[in-house]
Amino acid sequence: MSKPSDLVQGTLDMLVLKILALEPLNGWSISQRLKQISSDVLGVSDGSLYPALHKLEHRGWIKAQWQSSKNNRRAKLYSLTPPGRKQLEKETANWNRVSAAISGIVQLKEA
Amino acid sequence: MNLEQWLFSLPFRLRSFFHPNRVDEEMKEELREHLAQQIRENIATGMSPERARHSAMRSLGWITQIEQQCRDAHGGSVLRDFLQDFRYGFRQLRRSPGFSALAILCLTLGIGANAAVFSWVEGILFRPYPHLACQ
Repeated sequence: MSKPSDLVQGTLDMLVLKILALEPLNGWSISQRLKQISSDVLGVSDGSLYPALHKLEHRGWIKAQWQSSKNNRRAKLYSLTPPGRKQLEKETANWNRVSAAISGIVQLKEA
Repeated sequence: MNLEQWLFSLPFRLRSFFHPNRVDEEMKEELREHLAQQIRENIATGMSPERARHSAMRSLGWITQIEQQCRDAHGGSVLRDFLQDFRYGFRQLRRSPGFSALAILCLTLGIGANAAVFSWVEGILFRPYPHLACQ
């Protein structure tokens, strides 16, 4: 599986959950949102997004709904489930803990 | 996976199990829709339709690979994968009948000889006649 470069493994799930916690979106909008917010630093390829979405859906953290939008297009909208919200809280707490520890070490001054 | 999570993932699992083809078709439709939307977006930024299409396909990547990764993410359909492997194996066997026949013959003789030797060893050494044990 192609891993997105510069992205700590496992964080893509957290980012997707966070984005979906704000509002239900379809796959394309999620990829746009990822690019906008991270200003392309994270470099999540569109290709790695969809397998991640399907994995999250399989785990019951997000659910998908087909909705027909204007001009007769069908869009698959993803939204967070209650277990997904819990998972997001758990992963966010974990992320804060780990990143605080790492930045503490990185910022040590040389004697 | 806790109970709540399992409950929420149940509809998806049931659909994957009972309607694998429909789930597959929807996944493909989703990817097609992504491409279409990216192409529209590219055209809106002033690309020619041709370039818009190429650029969108490049940014998405190799679509068959993504489809397979999505299927893997579902845990796959065990039965379908098994049948696929089975058919593939059968086709490979038919492609080189001589080699297949030789391989099957070797396996037959090997297993047969093993069974014969083992039953002989078992009869003679492991379970000798009862009168020997009485002495």
